Amino acid sequence: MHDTKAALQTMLTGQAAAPHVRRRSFLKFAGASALATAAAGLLPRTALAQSRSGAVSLGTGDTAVLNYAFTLEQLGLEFYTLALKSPYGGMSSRERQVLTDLRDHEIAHVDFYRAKLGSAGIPQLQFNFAAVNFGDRASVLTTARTLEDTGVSAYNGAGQLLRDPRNLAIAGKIVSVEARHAAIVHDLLQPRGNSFAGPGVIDSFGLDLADPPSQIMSRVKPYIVTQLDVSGLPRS
Amino acid sequence: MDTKELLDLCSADQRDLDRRAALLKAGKTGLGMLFASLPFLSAGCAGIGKLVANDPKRATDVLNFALLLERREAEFYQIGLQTPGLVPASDRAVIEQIGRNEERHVVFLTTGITGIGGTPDTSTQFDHTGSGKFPDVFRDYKTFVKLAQTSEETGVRAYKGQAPFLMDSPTLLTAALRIHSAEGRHVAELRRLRGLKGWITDSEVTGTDARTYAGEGNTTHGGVNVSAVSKASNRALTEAFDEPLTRAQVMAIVSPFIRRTATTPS
Repeated sequence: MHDTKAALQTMLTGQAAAPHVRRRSFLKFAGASALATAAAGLLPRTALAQSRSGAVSLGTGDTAVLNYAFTLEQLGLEFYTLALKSPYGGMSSRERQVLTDLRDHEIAHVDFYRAKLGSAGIPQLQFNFAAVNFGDRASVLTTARTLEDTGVSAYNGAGQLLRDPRNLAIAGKIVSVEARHAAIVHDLLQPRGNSFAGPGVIDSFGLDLADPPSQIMSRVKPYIVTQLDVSGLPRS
Repeated sequence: MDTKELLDLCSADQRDLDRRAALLKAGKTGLGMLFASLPFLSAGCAGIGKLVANDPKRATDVLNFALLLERREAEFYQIGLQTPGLVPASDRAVIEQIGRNEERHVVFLTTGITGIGGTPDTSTQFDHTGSGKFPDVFRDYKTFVKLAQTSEETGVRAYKGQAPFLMDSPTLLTAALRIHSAEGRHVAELRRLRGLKGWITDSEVTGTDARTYAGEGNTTHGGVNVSAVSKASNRALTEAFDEPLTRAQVMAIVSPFIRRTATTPS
């Protein structure tokens, strides 16, 4: 769908958080661009490329899907790192343990994708969590819940875009851990309730969330400062 | 059943779906039959797409394997919830939600198998005591939840192992992935009820069968030895990745819970 593609590109490259952030981000990537130019002869064709707009490209095919997952893992890592840097008042030991585990798991996922993707991997992205009040339990935990549910939905929606069974196997190893995270964060907000696998996340066929990258990216866009070019993501 | 009815099913409310599930279980309606050669439900009614499997026989086989696990789970929770005094009020919302989801997985897989021209295998009967090893399964809540944890973990690993076999059908693959993560949610919460972390640390032995966690300590994925490239602790590295089981490994764990009958294919 051409218009969807155009809309998605506008959405992702059109408007970033704030003008000064955009400029900083642009300068950062202008610098990276110079380096990339210098190293161009050494990099494989699939290597991370910068589009003319200065956006970071996810690449194409399975690489793009893995970079998409890498994006979400970086987002989660940044969030939990911030949440633990300035813990909200009254954070229980159990809550701290859960948030610490989630951060550590995201470290593992980010380190994995960086190594797996090598030169085809996206760089460290810039994020903006100004919308989250890290001093407020509800703000932190509802954001965590959204991020984890979104992660599950993203992996489930992206599975069918992968062509290499080995990459599908990787996604499978990670998505169930994201589902565990999601359930436990739901439980922190609604102890022993049914929201961990209730109607908000499981449909009337017992199926978990699954959304295509376009929907996921529009949901997480408010948190991502770095401009991303997702035009190479497979659509089916 | 025509497309309109299919769409009606998509918009069916919970009570109606429960009724259909009950009817299907009781064998009073050929709901599955009615789906034959019709477009299959995809994306859980977010859209209806054609279910295309290049190898329907293999797809049917995989889905029947999933159906076996789901039927066992659905029946397990149903009996548990119907047993007076077993599930405490504090945990009832959790167990009821899991049970409801499992019943729906049974309905979904049954219709899906029929939708690709296969025959759902509903012949298997179950022995929830594991051939007598857990005689108090429906008397002692601790045993009940521990067994629930074991079968959900096994289910997560089973779907993970089968997913690559469904790659030629995006609809089937996505459906399987969506059930897979639902099972992941289930087991995390069951573990929580038992005071455990929601995630698996190394090859822990917290369930009823060590084989359920065999290999979970693996830290090499997609050719990357993550322990060599990550600053995360080994504990976190093993928790951050779940591992698949082959069908044979799953059946070895599940077989004590299957009652062999004359009609059960061996």
